[in-house]
Amino acid sequence: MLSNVTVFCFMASYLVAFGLELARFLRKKNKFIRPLIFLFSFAGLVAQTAYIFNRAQETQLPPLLSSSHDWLIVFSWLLVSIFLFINLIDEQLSIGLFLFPLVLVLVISSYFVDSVTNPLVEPAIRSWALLHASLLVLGGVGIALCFVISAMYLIQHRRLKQKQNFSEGFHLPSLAKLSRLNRGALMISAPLLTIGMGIGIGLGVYVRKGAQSISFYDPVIIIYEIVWAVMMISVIFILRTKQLNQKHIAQLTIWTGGLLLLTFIGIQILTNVRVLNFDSWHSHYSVPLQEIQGESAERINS
Amino acid sequence: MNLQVVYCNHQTAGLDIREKLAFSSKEQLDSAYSVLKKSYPETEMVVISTCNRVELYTATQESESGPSHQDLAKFFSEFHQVPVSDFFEDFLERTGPDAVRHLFQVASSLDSMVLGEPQIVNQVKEAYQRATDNSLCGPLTHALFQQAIRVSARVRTETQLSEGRVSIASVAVGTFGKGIFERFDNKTVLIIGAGEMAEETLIYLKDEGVDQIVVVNRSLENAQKLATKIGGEARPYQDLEDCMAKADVIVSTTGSNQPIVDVPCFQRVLEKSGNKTFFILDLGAPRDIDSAVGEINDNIFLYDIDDLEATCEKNRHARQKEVEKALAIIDEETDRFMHGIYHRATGPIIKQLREQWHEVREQEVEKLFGRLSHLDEKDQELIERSIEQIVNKLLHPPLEVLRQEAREGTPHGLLDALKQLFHIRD
Repeated sequence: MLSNVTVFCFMASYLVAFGLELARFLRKKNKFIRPLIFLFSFAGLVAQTAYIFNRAQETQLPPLLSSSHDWLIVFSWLLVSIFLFINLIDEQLSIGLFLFPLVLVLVISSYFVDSVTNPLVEPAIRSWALLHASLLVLGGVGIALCFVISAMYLIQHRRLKQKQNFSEGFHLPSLAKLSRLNRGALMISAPLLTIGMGIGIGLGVYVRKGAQSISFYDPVIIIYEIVWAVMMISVIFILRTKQLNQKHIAQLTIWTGGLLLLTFIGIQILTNVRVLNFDSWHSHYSVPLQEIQGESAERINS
Repeated sequence: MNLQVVYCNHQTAGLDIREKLAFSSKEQLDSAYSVLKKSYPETEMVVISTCNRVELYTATQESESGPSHQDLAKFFSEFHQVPVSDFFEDFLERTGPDAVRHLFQVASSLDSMVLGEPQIVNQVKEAYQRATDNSLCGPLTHALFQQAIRVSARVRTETQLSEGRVSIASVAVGTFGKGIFERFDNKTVLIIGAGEMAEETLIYLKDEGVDQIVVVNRSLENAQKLATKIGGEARPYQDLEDCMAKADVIVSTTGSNQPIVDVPCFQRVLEKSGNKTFFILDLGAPRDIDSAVGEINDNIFLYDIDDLEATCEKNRHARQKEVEKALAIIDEETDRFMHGIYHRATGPIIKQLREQWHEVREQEVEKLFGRLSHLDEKDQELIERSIEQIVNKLLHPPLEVLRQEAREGTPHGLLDALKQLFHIRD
């Protein structure tokens, strides 16, 4: 039965879970809401796991390597796993309100990006490519968490400054905890992204020597590098500033994280629909345009 | 069956009366129970005595055997040496379903001074336990109080009556303080002045783990007194700015007519402290700290008494909106409880009447079969079944009427009539 799982199955589960989170936020006190949120998220995660497994079997490649589509699916899978873990530790925390929109954006975006196998991932570089993709996805998850934590910080800060009370169904951690978590997530994701990007450059150099050649003027790589540089400047600024204003850090993180996430997802969609028409290692130029568009349409219809 | 409560509470009587009628210690209550037990040995009793109410619940299986409203007023008068005339007007009585509903409202905190406060259900539990220990509870009071505890839990789960903090100190620490700091055990609290509100706030802060407390007062002697009382350190008023710079939480409750901390003063504090987070509670009226201090930077969180009171009021209002929902639950549970009680009262009579009639039927059938020995098993079975049906049909109308009447209350008249007519013994 799990072999028939489609993206729509788990997307629907996450949509219901998000709807229930909204109901909890709007003070609909009901003892069943929280278990239902957990149930729908867990059901979605099981379906998504089956989908990832099926895709890996089909492509004979680890999910992170097979295509941009699968990369985004794994990204969202990690975020849902984190949500379920946090939900088990602190059932009151309203993190679902922040994480589910991100998860849904990632899942919906996966409809619009390539699901064809990357032809450049030769068996000889597969392990390095897997490490490159894994580090980037983990770094991406860290950045997504920074984004969410910063959003929570700013909302909590605004409430405390305006001397307001949250509704009963809305709970956020203290400012101190949020800034500690934000700093932690940033300090972990920055090296992961840096190493991931370094390995990517190494792979590029290696591939240039072989039959396939890629250009370092690939706009995808250039955009990633610019965004990475912005993020590193932010991290260095945070580390070097002696008297930190936590609100400014949250604002900085939310902008940097938002930009990075937008780039991660946006560039893949834009290259896939050929708005950016160039040869890129990350957009599979070897596949005819019509074929890609046909596949996307098929996924949307399913 | 008779259920009754006599009571005076914060809605009916002033503190002076409540104080006189209250049972201030466990020993005093035990002594009251022993007097009551001697006077009314057949009556089940539970006393709830808190600072806001004194209530005595009584229950008897026979409606006439229990103490009356006047009897209980006399008991209170004699026990506490207070003339009945001093309190009788404020000493109310409720019986039957009204008494049950009253207890359910009390246990669910609908009758409390602070609507939805959680302590009352524990006080009800303690009162019930005390009465049980004194062997004054019986089947009726056991059922009543256990049901009251269940109803209280249901109201708490299904409504938002107990949600949102409603006292200044709890809002200050729980709603705002815990939104700023992750933990308090590594925080320094500075108390400026010696107002009562500071002490109340400290109770909540200490619950969160605070143990570094500094007290500053214009009078060092008063500061030392308070510091000794709360386990803190007293510092002279001249050290105020240094103490503020070291503190994370500042609670100010002076009686000053003008703000004692203004923007320039706090700027000097910030120069000494660096850009750290300050949680400031200005509980003085008029204000001790210029409200502009809260605007100096993003890490200063200043709350005055009006801010805190506004949040309390909002939470009280939210609780008030839940009262109707809670009352509907209580009405439903009262009806259910009373049906159970009435059924319990009529059940034994119905059972006995049935058994008696079927006993007669069996005896007569046996006699008949003795005379008609030629009947085969099939015929005997047919005759036996017909007679059983006749008995059931004859019993049906009176038992149905009894059940109908029991829905409105214990049908004492009918039960007595049935007992007399059919020689049913208790």
